Amino acid sequence: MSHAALVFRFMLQKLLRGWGRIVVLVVLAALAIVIAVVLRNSDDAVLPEDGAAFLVWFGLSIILPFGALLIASEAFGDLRDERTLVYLWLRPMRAWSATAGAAGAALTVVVVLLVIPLIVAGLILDVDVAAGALLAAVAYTGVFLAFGMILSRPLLMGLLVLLVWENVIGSLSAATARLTIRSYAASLLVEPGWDVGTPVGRSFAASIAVPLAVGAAGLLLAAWGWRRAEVA
Amino acid sequence: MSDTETRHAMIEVERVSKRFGDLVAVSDVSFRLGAGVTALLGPNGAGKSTMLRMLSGLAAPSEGTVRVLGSNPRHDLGLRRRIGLVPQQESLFEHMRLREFVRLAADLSGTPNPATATEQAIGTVGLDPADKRRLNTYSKGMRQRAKLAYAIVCAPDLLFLDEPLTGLDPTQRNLMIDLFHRIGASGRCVLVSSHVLDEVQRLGTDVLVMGKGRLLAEGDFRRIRDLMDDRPSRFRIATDAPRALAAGLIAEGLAVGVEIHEPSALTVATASAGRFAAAIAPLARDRRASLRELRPLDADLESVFRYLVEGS
Repeated sequence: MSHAALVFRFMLQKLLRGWGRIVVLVVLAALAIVIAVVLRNSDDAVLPEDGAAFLVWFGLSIILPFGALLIASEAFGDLRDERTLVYLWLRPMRAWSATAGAAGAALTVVVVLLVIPLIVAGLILDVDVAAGALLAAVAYTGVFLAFGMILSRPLLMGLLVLLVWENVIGSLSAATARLTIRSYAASLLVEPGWDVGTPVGRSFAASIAVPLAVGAAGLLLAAWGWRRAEVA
Repeated sequence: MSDTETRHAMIEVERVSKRFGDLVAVSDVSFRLGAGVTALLGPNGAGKSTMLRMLSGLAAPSEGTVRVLGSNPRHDLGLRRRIGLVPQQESLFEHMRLREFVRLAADLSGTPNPATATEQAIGTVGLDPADKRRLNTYSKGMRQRAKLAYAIVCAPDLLFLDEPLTGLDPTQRNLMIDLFHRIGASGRCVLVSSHVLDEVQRLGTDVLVMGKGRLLAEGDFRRIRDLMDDRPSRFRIATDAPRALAAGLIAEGLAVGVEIHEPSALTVATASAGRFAAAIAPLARDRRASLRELRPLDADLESVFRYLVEGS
C-alpha cells in the first residue's frame, strides 16, 4: 500500500472518531434535506429558483464551508495540537503523499456527510447541485487542510476567512464576489436570470477551474507546510 | 577525518545552536557519537529534547550542522527509515489499537514482513500483540512501551529516546535498560535522554551532559571526573591509625584537607586522585597504619553532574 493510501486510511479512521464533529455535520445535512422537503411541499414556493437560493445560502454558504473547515482543518491540526504529528512526519514519506492522503480522507468525509445530502436536497428541489457542491468541497478542503498544517489556530482563522472573506467581501459587489469560492460553485447551479441572493455569473470554465485551482493551491501549501514544519 | 573515524561517527554535531525567538535552547554544541548506548544527561530545560529533535530532523538548527550517518536528517527522507524516536510526550494515536499503531510505523517505513516485525516489536517491549484495547486506555508505562515498539519496529540504526523510562515500574525499567544495551551492542547508536541520575548510571558510563543549552561534558563520566582538576577528589579511609595517616598525607602533600573521624576513619580531599591512589598504600605501610577501606566519595555520576550543572 502506498504512503498516501496508508495516510488516507489512518486519517479517515481518525476523522470518523471525532463524534462531536460528525454529529454536528449529520444534523446540518439532515436539516438541509428536511428543509428541502418542506420547501417542495409548500404552496407558495417557486421551484427551482427558490430551491437554488436555499441551496446556495444554506448549502454552499453555511454547511459546506463550515463543515469542510471542521473536518479539513482538524486533519493535521489535531495531530499538531496533540503532538502526534511526529509519528507520521518521522517516517520516510514525501510531503505530497502525506497531504494527498489527508486531503483524500477529509474530502471523503465532507462528500459523504455533506455533499451527498446536498445532492439529495437538490434532487428534491429539482436543482442540480452536484458539480457546484463537489467543487466547493474540493476548494474548501484544500484551503482548510493547509490552515491545519501551517496555522496555530486553524479553526479560528478559518472562521474569520469564511465570515469576512466569503460572506462580507463576497457580498459587497459582483466584482468582489469573484474572489470567493462560493460564487464559482453557485454559478454552476443557477440558470440565467435567477436571483439566489449572491452574485453569480461566472463562466462555466471558470466555475470548474477556479475551485480546482484553489484546492490544488491548498494542497501545495499544506505540502510546503509539512516540509517546513518544526515538529514538536 | 579518516574513513575509519567517519564510519564510527554515526552522529556528527558541529557548532549547533537552536533559538526560538529570544530563547536560546541549544548553544554552540559539538559532539560525535558512534555505536553503543550514550546517556544525554541534563536538568529540565537543558536543551536535551531540542537536541534529539534536531538529530531526528524534526527541527532545523539555527546555526551549525547535524549529520546523521553522513546525511542531513532534516532533508534525507531515506534516513528517516533508519531513525527511531521515542518522543517525550505521552500522546499516541488514541483511537488505534496497539497492533494497528505499530503496524502503521512498519508499513510507512517499508519494513519487510511488517506483520511479523510488528509482533516482534510489541513482544520485545513486553506488551501483548493481541491486546484489543485502544491506546487511550493505556497507562503511562504502557504508553512508553508502545512508543518504543513504534520506534524499533523498523529496526533503526539510530534510536533516540527522550525520557523513555518515565512512568515505568522498576521491573519494566530493568527490561528497557537491558533492551537498550542489547540494541547498542548490536552496532546501533542509542541515545537516551534523562534527568534522573540513577537511570543514567545504569545506562552505562558514556554521557553527554547538557546544561542551559550548552554541552558541559562528554565521554566516560569517570574520566570526566578525573579531569576536574580544580575540584578536590574526596576519599574515605578506614584505618586503625587515622591521625598518623592524616599527618603523613599532609606531610607528603597528598591531601589538601583531612577530616578525622575517631577512632578509625578519615576523609581526605586530594588535588590529584591518581597520585593519591599510587601513594596511599606505601604511606600507610611507612606509618604502620593498616588500610581497611579506601572508598572514593565523589567519583559517581551525581557528583559529576552537580559539579558541571551547578558550575555552568
